[in-house]
Amino acid sequence: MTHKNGPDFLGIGLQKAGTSWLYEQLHGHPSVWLPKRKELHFFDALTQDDWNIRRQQRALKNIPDLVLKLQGAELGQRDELLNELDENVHLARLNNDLEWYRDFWRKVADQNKLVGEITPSYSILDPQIIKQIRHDFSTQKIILILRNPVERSWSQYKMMTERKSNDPELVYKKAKLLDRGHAKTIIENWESHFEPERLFIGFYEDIKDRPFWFLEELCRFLDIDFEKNYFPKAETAVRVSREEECPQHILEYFISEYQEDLKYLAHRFEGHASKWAAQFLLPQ
Amino acid sequence: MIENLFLSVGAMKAGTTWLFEQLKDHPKIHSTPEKEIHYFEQVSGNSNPISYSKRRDRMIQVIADKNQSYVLNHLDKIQWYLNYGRDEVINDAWYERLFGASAKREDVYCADYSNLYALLDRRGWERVRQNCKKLRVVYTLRDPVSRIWSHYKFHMQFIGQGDKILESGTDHFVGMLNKDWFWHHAEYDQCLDRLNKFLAEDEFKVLFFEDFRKKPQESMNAFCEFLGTDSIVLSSTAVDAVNASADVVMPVEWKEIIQTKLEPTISALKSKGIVHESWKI
Repeated sequence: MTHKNGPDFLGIGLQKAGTSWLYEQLHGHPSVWLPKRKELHFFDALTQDDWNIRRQQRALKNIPDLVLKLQGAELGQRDELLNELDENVHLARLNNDLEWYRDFWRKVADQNKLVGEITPSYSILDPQIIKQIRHDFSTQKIILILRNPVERSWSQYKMMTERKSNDPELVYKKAKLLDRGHAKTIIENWESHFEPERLFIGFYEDIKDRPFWFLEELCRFLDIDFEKNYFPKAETAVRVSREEECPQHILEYFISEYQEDLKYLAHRFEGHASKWAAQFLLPQ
Repeated sequence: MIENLFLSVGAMKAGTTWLFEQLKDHPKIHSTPEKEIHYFEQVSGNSNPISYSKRRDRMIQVIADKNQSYVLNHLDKIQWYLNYGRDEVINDAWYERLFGASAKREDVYCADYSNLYALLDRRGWERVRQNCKKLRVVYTLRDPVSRIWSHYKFHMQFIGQGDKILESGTDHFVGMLNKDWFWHHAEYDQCLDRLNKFLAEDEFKVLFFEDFRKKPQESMNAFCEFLGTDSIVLSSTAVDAVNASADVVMPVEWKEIIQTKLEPTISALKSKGIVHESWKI
């Protein structure tokens, strides 16, 4: 009998650094189980009410369809539908209850797979919640993908301004965008509760340029088999946002915002991070 | 470990569903959507009442039989059945989870109305004790002849022969009485002996079906006093039978067969002084 009460691993971002690609790859791995929906947003719902409500509404919309499908389902299809129904009922009933999350993982524990969840906004969780994850849940491993902070924020900016309600001249100064690029703080927060060997730090460039190498490293970290044919879409699935030149004032804003992160990352990781620094680190 | 566990252990067809229905709204008694969990029989008894496939079928029945708006309005209940039916292997933690946060509350009883528990042996009661800090058990008795007749009718309805209760014939009726799984429920004396052996005096109380019918509020008050919890005010419909079996009169010949077979039980009950004044024995 397993004692799982949380995911074995968490993908915590960064947002716009390839987490959807990561989800697709791990979802296809035979020894890994991931929820149907990529992002559960459980832990940030502990602090953010709007997420909660939106997620709840989506789940409520799904439930009637699932019940209808269950009524007409053949015996063999029922398990999958029941899993999905369970997930949605949980979400629909969610009241920020830690017990909900524990229950969710207890039930998938029977599958005898490595189970995980990927929610990029977990990157900026409050350190208190990170501490709780480490001590109150069976979660052992954390996956973090880094990307050049200036480019990352520009990518998120483009995504956010696709929504008409976001003012293009305000959005780039928003904490919701900027905080998710502060890699130094993010790494320090997570490292203060997860030992270095429990933290996998990968790079967006590797996903793009050598995805199989990246996946092999990741599989080693997760202690699961690596075979190229587990990942048929590894080389094609990276989502790229529209090409667009970043306006100078926004670019400058991002560059100045991330000076400390660029310095820290280059010093600590060299390689890709040194290139980011060469590109955007201002002379002292 | 459950803080307070209340078990209604039978007898079958002696008003346990009535009790369950009345207590559903009791603020300090947590009943589950499924009346009879039968967990301790499953893990320590001789039968398999809640195998994975049985729980799974029940879960699917509950969910798929309901219309969509019912499901949306009863998410707690749907969630409960998903928890109940989706685990292939069940254990003590599974049982405790059925009661949610109530399991850890000192002022709430977790209630399970499993009639098969009247047949639990030492192993079964040891398992019960491993799972709770405080235990209260009631065993509800009913006029033994009427109970057997109700049980028989109920069984015939259960197997889809509800229209052939009398036509089933004396041989079939006698055959049923001779089946252990049927007759053990009629042996109140033996059930009482087991319960008295494995439970302390303050843990165990005998109730009477006839009191539920004739003086429901008084019975409820006495029951709640036994648990040490506030009583509830019953509605005016609380005298009505719940889960009643078909209204078919028992043939005289069959009644005599029952009475003969019941003799040892009746005399044992009389010597224990556990007989309700209304019983026709």
